[in-house]
Amino acid sequence: MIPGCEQATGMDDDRFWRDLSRRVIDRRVPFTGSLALTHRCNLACAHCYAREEAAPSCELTGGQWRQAIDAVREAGCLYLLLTGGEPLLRSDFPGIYRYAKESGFLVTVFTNGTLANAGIIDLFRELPPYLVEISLYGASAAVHDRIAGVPGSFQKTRQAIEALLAQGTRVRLKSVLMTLNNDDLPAIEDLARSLGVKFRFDPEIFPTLSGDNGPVALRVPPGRAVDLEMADPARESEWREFLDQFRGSRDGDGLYNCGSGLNTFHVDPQGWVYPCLMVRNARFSLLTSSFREGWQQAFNDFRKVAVPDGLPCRGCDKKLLCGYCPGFFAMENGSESIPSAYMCRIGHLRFEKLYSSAHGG
Amino acid sequence: MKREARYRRKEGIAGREIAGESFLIPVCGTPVDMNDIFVMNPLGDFIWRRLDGERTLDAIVDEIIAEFDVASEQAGADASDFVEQLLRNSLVEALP
Ligand code: SF4
Repeated sequence: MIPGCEQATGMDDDRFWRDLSRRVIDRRVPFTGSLALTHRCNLACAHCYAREEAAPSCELTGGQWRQAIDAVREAGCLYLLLTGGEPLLRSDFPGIYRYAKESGFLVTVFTNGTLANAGIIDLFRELPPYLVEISLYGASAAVHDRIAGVPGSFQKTRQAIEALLAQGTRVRLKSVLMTLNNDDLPAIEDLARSLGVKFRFDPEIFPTLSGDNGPVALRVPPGRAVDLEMADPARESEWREFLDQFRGSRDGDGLYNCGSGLNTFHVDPQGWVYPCLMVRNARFSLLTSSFREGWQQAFNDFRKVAVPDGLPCRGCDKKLLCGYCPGFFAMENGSESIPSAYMCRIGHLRFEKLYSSAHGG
Repeated sequence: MKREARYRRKEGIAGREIAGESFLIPVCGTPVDMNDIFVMNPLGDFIWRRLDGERTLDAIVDEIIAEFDVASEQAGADASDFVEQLLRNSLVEALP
């Protein structure tokens, strides 16, 4: 037997990670999870889905989050996202973050960056996160602050990005595409490029978690969204590679064909564990059940639901391109079997674009 | 590699067991990604758990022989190789 201590990628890497992913799925290991430490936020973004904030008194305490971290560690989680609301709004964020890092997770933090003071920057230098993903809604204060609802936020966000980059923290920027910023998108991309960071944006805007459809009015027309996406040749070829890689892979009989409740989970500020952020119809509470018990029992049924007969998505060849998600359907239409007309249209347009340019059309 | 020497796991390395694999994940230092994660096989894991700064490498080799079906020479060579890899990657330290 050869003793092994190899860098994971130094091994026969692809094969190792492929085998591991298969085992993670076969054994239903909760490999990837997110903890929404709070739904409170210091900004008031126009499109926010979590805007009805829970009172701080309803949030898990720092000690309870540590217990949750222990539990998901024991269950096999490797990728852990700390998110919100705005997670840095919690004064005990540094302690929770440190605990997660020292417990051996690859920790990502989603933040608006405005509260990243010197202490936070130092913390990320001492214990580097896997990734800090910062939301940027415009390339100027005029656009960004209008969406964020708080004057001065652009300036603070930008300072945080620069301070993190200066010390070598891995930062990625992301945006939500909406009526209020779609003209600014090329400028945001230029800004990201000039900072040397990766950037992604998403045209999906959700109703709020409590069912308010207000934010949906901010969606840009599907054609505009896809034009902006495909205007960047690099992004277009990423889409094409993705399509080539997964096209023709078996669809499965279940309504859910993603990792939701299979190897991903989401914990809300009050300790409710969901299969993912989007799926709200199965859950258990960390206050009344252990993670292991809940994970084994609470998500079985929803994973067994078959694709309903009338669902047009069955066998659809655009499924890889529309962000297919029955949880999203339920949020938007109150039913997992009524697709989002908006995302369906986007899927079709992406397909047309990729297909026509692949054929010189 | 001195077999009578003692080695200790460095602080800031988290050991994880996930889906039947044993990983070592550095907590501090450079941004951690897949390139920085180490994977151990069962023998590596067995040795890692015993690098407590108290046992000598020789004592660990004896434990390997008792636990695994392996000849003494092979066990010694494997253990030395493994500890050398750990040293090279700053995952353990030799005690004076
Ligand atoms: S939402 Fe539309 S594009 Fe997506 S899988 Fe269903 S039918 Fe196909």
